[in-house]
Amino acid sequence: MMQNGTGPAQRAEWPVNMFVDALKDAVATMAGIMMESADESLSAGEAGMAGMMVLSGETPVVLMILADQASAAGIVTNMTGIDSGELTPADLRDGLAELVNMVAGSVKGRLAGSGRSFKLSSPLVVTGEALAVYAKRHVECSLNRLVAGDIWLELKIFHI
Amino acid sequence: MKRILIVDDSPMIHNLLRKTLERNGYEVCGDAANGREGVELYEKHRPDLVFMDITMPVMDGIEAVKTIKGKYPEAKIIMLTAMGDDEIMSEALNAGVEVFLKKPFDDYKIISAIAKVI
Repeated sequence: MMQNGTGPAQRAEWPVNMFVDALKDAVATMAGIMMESADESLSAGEAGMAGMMVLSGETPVVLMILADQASAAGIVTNMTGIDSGELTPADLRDGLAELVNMVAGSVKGRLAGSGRSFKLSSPLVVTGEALAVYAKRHVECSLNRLVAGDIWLELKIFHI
Repeated sequence: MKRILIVDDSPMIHNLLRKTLERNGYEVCGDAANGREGVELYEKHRPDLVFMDITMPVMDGIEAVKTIKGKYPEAKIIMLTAMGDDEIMSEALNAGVEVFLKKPFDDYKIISAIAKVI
């Protein structure tokens, strides 16, 4: 996974930890998997899927959750009880879309009453091999990596 | 056995909810992928309870709730959505939903909500 202009791990305008907590909570509640924050300098592997949403408002961001196919399958298997070998690509896309939707919705709920107002786009999922993100201009990017055994997720917030 | 209709555009949520409901002695009488299908299946099956998402193609959940409640005021509907802010919750409650639940969810959250409604 590469990107141009990766910036500091956290930007004051957005409570990045709130996104991380929301992601951990969603995976724990829906899949029973307790993910832990990992060292950002360690390579997690090549992402094959990315779920994303645009949070538009005064300081818009793109929320992106990346995983490889095996990690997405591990999470969706734990969510649904469907054996990982029986999961279809559509199942994985649906699972990742729901996950990013839950994280964004949760943050919107947690920020309600704080004065911060933003709108959520529909979730999008991109699949491919060794997904890379390139920005036309300098874009700060917050990166948080979560792991549970062989399962990993990367949460990226691009300040567009 | 109480009969429940699921309205959500995510097959994964259908799968997950169905397992939770059937494990706890409820029958899933229909699966709708959008609000319009939800209205049609409600009229066809007249379920005891509906689980309704908000953000869906064709017709969203709020509109579907208004349509169902407009024709069948006795309908029991639980809103289950990732959209967690107060404004949307207020809109859903004003449309007539009995309970507003936020995703993510577990069995306890689902079964406790059902117990409040039917």
